[in-house]
Amino acid sequence: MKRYLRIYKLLLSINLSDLMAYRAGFFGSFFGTTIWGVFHFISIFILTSRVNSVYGWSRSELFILTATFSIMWGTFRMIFIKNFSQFSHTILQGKLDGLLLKPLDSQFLMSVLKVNYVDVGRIVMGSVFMIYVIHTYHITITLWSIMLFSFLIIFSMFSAYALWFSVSTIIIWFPRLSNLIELLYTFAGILRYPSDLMGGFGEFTVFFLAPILFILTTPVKTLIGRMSIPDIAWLIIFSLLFLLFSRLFWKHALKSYTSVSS
Amino acid sequence: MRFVHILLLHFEDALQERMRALIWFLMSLVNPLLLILFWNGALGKSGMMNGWTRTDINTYYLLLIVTSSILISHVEDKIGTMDIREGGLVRYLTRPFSYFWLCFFEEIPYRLLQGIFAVIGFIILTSLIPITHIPPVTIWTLLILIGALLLSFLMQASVALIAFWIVEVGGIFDTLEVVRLVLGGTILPIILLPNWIINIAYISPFAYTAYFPITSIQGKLSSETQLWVLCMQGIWIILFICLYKILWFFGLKKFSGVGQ
Amino acid sequence: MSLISVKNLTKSFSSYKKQPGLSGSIKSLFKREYQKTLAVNDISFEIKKGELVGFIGPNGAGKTTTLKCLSGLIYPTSGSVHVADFKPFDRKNEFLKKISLVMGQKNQLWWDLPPMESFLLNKEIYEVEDTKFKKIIDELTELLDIKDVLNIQVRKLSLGQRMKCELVGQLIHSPEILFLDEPTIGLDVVMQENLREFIKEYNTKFEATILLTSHYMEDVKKLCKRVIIIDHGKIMYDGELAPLVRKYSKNKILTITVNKEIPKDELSKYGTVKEYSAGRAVIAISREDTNHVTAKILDTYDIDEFTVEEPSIEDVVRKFFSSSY
Repeated sequence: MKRYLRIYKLLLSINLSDLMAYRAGFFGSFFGTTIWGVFHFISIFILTSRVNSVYGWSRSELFILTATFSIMWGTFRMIFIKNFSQFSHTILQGKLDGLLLKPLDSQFLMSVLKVNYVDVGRIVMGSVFMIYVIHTYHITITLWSIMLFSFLIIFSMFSAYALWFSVSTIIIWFPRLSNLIELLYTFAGILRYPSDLMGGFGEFTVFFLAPILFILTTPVKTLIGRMSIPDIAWLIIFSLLFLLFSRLFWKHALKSYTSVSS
Repeated sequence: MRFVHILLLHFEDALQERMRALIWFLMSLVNPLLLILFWNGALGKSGMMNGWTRTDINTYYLLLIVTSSILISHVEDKIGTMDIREGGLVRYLTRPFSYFWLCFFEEIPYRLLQGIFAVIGFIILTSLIPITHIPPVTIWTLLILIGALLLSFLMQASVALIAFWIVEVGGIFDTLEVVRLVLGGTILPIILLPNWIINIAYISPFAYTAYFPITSIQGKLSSETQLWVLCMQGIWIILFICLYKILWFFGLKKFSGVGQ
Repeated sequence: MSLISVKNLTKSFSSYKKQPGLSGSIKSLFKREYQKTLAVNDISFEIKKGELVGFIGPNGAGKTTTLKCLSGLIYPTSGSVHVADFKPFDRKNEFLKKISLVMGQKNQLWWDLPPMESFLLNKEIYEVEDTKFKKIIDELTELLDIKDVLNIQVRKLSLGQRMKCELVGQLIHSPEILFLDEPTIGLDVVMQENLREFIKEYNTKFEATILLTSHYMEDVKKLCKRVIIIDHGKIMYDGELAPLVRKYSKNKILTITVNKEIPKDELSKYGTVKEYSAGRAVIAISREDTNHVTAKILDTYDIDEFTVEEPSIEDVVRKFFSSSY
């Protein structure tokens, strides 16, 4: 564990050096990711401009959900996105070979080798927006709810990671399906909406999509004082099981890995 | 004839990539479906907003899935990044074809394939989600749809030419996409947006690639409005043709073909 | 006791066939025909510690697949593979620290950073001690003459410098077993020679066991005493290079330069004239008669220079393959 932390610390520093070495790319990417971050806020403003409540969620609560999404999604993107975007490329170009030959867990290397610092913008935007909403709408937040929220967000991240990694693993069998990961980013959009949304589509959809929805809704509910113990338990159990599944699936996939020809 | 050949070759390519095409299609489903759910919850008992009923909204978003699959091009990455920035353009410049038309005919098979998925998806979803009656497609609606396809392609292609001068075009493409989503009526039908956004949207080209084609299919536009829409599409098409020609002329002089 | 032991190794892949044209594409929408390819077909061999073995064969013969099975990258369909008492596919860290698979043009260094940064990352990954790291960097960079470029961004280096740095990166952990897959591919003649020298030094200095695949017979000729020839997934020959040359070439090559032109028909009496120009001729002479023929030519004509050589390995291998069919 210590070794992995040491290596990750080194990776953070190498990625920072890498960022400094190619400054032109930084500004373009920073601008792009920030624009999308802004888009999410614009969307929710527009959508709630004519209505006051959606499935029992008030406008301010939806803003909090959006801000949380921005923070969590920004963190997720910062740590993982470059690696997932390159998944298909890594496999098709034979770079996975190089990773598999290292005496280090391949899932670790596939997941965290590159860091996308430009997404710090989204984290900052989300945090600022969160503070603004709490202050403007006088939302009562306790220390206990902040601590629980922070604790549960970790499990949200586990769930999101496990989902992304499991779907990306499919690329070992179908290297050309790089847009499978793009599909996931679209699904990430679901996280911006309250899980109660799914009630509108009936039980089948709830069963299928509920795990994804609980990822963010549960921590946010604890923050705004609408905690639900079953939801919390469900999030923790689900994220740990899903994490385990992603690992087993990856190990299984490596057996089928054919490697590119020379 | 040779363009037919190119079309067929790229259709073959598109079929090979059918799984990828299916995934692109599934992506186009997610947001509209979420928004249908959102409005189901938001509209409450009255089920009405500015004259739009719940079923009107459902119909709008489902048609959005179909129109964004068929009409909205995403050639900016191919033209801007792959061809110009990465030098792929050199292969086209030595051929006796117009680059513009080559790209256009390369794009069509993918739009068609996406369209097939979209129509199948639409038929399945309308059995689950209540929609309003869609009147038969008139010649005006058809012209508006063709105009939308041309305008969308021209717009993306023209903006992509900025890559001749700017290295980091990704940020610009992202901005354009965000603006298109807002002003094109993807989040909400333009008529339901705040007034100040409506005014901006109506003079922007984006509304004519998504919102107006959809509302025309829905039968919500009067003949006068349809004519006006066609005129606006025509004006924007002419403007973008001019922009494209100017950018192409000056851009080609700057093009160095590095990376190839 | 063998360091590398391969017994009845087989690896098969499946791929699908598509008919050309649009109708073929539509057909493949509904029905796809898969075919199984045996990349490696029941091969067995053993390699002892410190050996430098050449693994040669045409494209698609199964060389790279074999190396990948040996390094644990791909899972064998059947058979057994043991490298340094490990089963490669288990990919245990102790095993991975002992080996290195170097594939010609694959880049692992960070493009926008100096090579040293990538070396330091590898140092951490392979848990190389500081003193050992310093020593190995000094030795390798000395051998490859790249001391001055360690702190220059990789994208600013020439192809040769980059390749050398990639190599150093792969050897930071002083692997005892090296799998080199087409290491000289795409390099100019000078670089190829440099690399060969380096491989030889590495084998001698570090007593490393090296298995090298190559298309270039110069690589094999200059580095390997023993060759394994593989074709269509099967081992055709496993043994020393010299006997192979002797067996498959009945001739030696005599090259002469003369001051006074000798008619071509006259030279044909001694053997097959392969090249002929005003002052120079290349003749393939029978191996058994070499001494006799050479002496006769030297006695009869006014020879300026002459050399007697083995035929090129390419010719030998080509003959070997043509006789195998």
